[in-house]
Amino acid sequence: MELTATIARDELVERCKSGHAPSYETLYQKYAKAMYNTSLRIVNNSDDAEDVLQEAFVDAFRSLHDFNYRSTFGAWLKRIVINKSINVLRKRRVQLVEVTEFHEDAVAEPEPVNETEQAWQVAQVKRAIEKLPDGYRTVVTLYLLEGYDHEEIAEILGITHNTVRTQYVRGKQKLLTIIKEGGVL
Amino acid sequence: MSTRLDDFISNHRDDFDSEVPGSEVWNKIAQRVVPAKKSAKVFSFSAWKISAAAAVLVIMGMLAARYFIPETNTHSMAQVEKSVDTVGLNEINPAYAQQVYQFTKLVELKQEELKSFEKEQPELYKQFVSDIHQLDSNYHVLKLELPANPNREQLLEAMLQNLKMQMDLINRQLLIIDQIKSSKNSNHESNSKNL
Repeated sequence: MELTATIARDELVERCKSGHAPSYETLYQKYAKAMYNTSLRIVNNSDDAEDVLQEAFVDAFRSLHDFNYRSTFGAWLKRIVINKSINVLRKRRVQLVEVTEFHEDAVAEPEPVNETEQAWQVAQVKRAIEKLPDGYRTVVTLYLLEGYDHEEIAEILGITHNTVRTQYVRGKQKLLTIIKEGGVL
Repeated sequence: MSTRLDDFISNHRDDFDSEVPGSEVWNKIAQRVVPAKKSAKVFSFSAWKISAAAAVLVIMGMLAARYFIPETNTHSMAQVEKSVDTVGLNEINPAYAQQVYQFTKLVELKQEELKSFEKEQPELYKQFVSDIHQLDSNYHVLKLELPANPNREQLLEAMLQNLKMQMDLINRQLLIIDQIKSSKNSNHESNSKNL
C-alpha cells in the first residue's frame, strides 16, 4: 500500500549527514523554537523543556544516518521531542490518564461552554493550557497543536484509542471552563 | 468573531510557539555532537590517513601470524636478508621458497630506498621503521616455528603473506614520502613566485 508521498531530500540534513559542521547549527536554529514550545506544552517547565530540547537534538544528530525520509525531518524530530517530554512526565510519576470521579463530575459539571460565543486570544488560551492537569494537557496539545490524530496519540502514550477520545473530550471541556472562569467572556 | 477553539488554534498556530529556549542550549549540544573541523594542513591529514592504513596492515600481519609476540630486541632492517634460509625452505616446497627469496630481495631494495629519506624525515622514518619491525618480528617467529611445525606449507604461506604485507607497507610509506616531497616543492614554488 503506497500511502506515503515521496519526501523531498532535505539538503540541510544531507549536509549534516556528510559532517558539515556549520550546517548543524543551521539545522538547530531552524527547528529549536518550535521543538522547545512543543516540549514546554507537555512538561510545563522551562528547565525540563530545555533539557528535552538538548537531549532530542543530540539523539537526532547522532542517529541522522537512521533518518530515511519516511517522514519529514521536522516530523521525525518532533516525535523524538514528544517521546522525551512524555518520559519526563513519567519520571515525575504523573498520571497520564486523568481519573475523574463520576459523581463528582456530575455535580461539578458546568454547563458546556459554547465555543462559538468566545472571543479567543492566544495568550489566554496558552495560560489556560498551562493550568490543565498533565494528562489532559498532553492529550489536548498533541491533538489541537501538534496535529496528531487519536490513533497516533494512543500509540505515543501507550493507551487505548477509546481512552484518548474520552480524555480529549474531558480535557477540552476543562480547558474551555478554565478560559471561561478566566473572565474573558 | 465566532469560531470554535480548534479552528482558532489552527488559524493562529504559529503564535502559540512564542517561547524561546536559552542560548546556552545550543552550546551544550555543539560540545557533544558537532564534528571537529578538518585540519587545514591537507598534507599532514593524508599522511595520517595512510599511516592509519599502515597500522591496519600491521594488525592484519599479526592476525595472519596468529601469535602474540612480545617486543624483543629490535632487528636492524638488513636482518631480513640474513633471515632467509632458502636452502631449508627448498626442502619443504621449492616454489614457495623461490617466492620467499624474491620477496625478501624486493623488501630489502625498498628498505634501502626508504633509508635514503632518513636524514630528510628522521621522525617519520623512525615511525615507519617501527611499523615494519612489527611485521618483521612476526616473520621471524613464523620462521622459528617452521622446523617444529607439522603443517609447514601453511606456515610458509603465512611467511609469504607477511613479506607481501611488508612490501605493501613500504610502498605506502614511499608514497607518503613522495607526497611530502611534492607538497614541499609546490610550497617552494609558490614562495618564490611571491618574492
